[in-house]
Amino acid sequence: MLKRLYHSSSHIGSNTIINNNLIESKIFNNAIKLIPKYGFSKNCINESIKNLKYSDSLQSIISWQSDKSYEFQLMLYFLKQKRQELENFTKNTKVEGVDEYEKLSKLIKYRLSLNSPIINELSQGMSQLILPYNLNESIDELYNLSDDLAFYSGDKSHSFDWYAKRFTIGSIYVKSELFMLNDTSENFENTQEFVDKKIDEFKMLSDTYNNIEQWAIFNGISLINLIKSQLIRG
Amino acid sequence: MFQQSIKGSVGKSLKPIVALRFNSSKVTPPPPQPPNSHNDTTHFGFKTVNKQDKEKLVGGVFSSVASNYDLMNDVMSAGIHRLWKHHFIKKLNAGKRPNSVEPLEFLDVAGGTGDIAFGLLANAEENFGDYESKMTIADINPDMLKEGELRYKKSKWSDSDRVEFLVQNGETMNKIPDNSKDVYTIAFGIRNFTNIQAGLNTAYRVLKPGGIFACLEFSQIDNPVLDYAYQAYSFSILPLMGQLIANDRDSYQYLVESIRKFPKQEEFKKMIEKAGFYVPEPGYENLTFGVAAIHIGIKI
Repeated sequence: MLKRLYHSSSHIGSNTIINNNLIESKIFNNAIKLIPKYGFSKNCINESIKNLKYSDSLQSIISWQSDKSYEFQLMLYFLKQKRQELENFTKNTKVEGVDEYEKLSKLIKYRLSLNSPIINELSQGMSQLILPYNLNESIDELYNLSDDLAFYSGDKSHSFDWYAKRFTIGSIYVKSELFMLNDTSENFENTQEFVDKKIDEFKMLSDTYNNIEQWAIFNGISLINLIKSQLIRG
Repeated sequence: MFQQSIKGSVGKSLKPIVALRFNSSKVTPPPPQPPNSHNDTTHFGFKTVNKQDKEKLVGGVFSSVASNYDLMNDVMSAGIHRLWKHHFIKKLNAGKRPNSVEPLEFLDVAGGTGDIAFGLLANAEENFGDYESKMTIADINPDMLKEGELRYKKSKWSDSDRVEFLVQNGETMNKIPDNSKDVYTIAFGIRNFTNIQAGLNTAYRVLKPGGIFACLEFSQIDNPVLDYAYQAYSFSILPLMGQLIANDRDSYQYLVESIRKFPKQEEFKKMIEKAGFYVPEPGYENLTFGVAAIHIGIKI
């Protein structure tokens, strides 16, 4: 099976993150509703299959698709589902903002708000993500999220800052999520403030980067011209 | 090309070995009748035989290998078939979960010696404390089934009523009602069906909605270099080992030929879908570069 190595926004439907019609998606979607009750545990999946009136034989579909633990699979599915919700959000609502940083800040806040129903259990799920043998897939998913965040905030970069941006967005997201775990303020206002602050720093950093880049190019060209003029004078 | 040259060289080296053949007391399959028309024929290894004869011929093969079956498998695959079966059972990870009400109904087809059946029961007990689910072991061949029963009598399930043995043709399963089973497993058996599609359709019939079909079978290696080595091994060494250990060359010649004739992974996946199953991603899993593969299907 060939894995698609590129992403195109012009192929509609070819990049759906999850397909809700599949039987395994139904099991996971229902299991996620049970997380507040059972935490990120096997019980969510067991109960989900039971609630959907399926036979226990369907458990095999979960063990078939991945060798990873049920807990990790549940967390990974949760992340994918929320990324899908983020995509749906950008399709249905126009994200307003003066520049891409303001849009980015809004998108990150929206994505974080999707964590709120299970915020008390989230640390359990996140601990699954950082287990060494799960790290590969977790980082893939984080990269996908920061790529989506960059794309929907209107990022048009095509040089080295393409990578730098995605790396920075990923780290801002993780920092904010960790901040959110300990945030007790109403509507997670402190987290929102935290995101704004981090995005401002990011903006300042990229402004600084641009200024230095301009300064360096200007001086470089001046230097070449200086040498040229000296050569002509002989 | 590869096949041809291997066949050629094997054919040449075959004759002196066959001439050396010990006088065997085993039942060897009778020579097939010449095929009468194209529509009524199927393959038996590389030979073309009448459809009604294949069942008898396969029966002959397995009757003659039954007593040495496991020993031969161990020798030929260097024990790897045990790893495959173990992995197969782990992948299914089937069993009644502690909070569920209804025990599962397992059906292991072509499960003569009971490897998969007992493995599944043991896995369900270890992982989920499931001491209730029932197992039906079906095989078309009474000799193979007897081997399983002998082993069953020595197992810890022998004094319970959880295991049942049935002589059944996998293509019809006339003693098994519709929608009655939760898990249908078949390991290294479906290759020998006269009509594989009919076998898959029957699997679909006997499974309950939500039931799972799982098949472990020899398959094809994609990598041409590895495939060349594998073909050389299986066509020259395997029948020879069959002759030396089980004193039965023809049966093992049939085994390797039937492996070669079995549909490729993608093709077999399509057949499973054609029977009505939903095949979840990834459609199949290759074991040892594709020497064997696991396929599953869900009846929705």
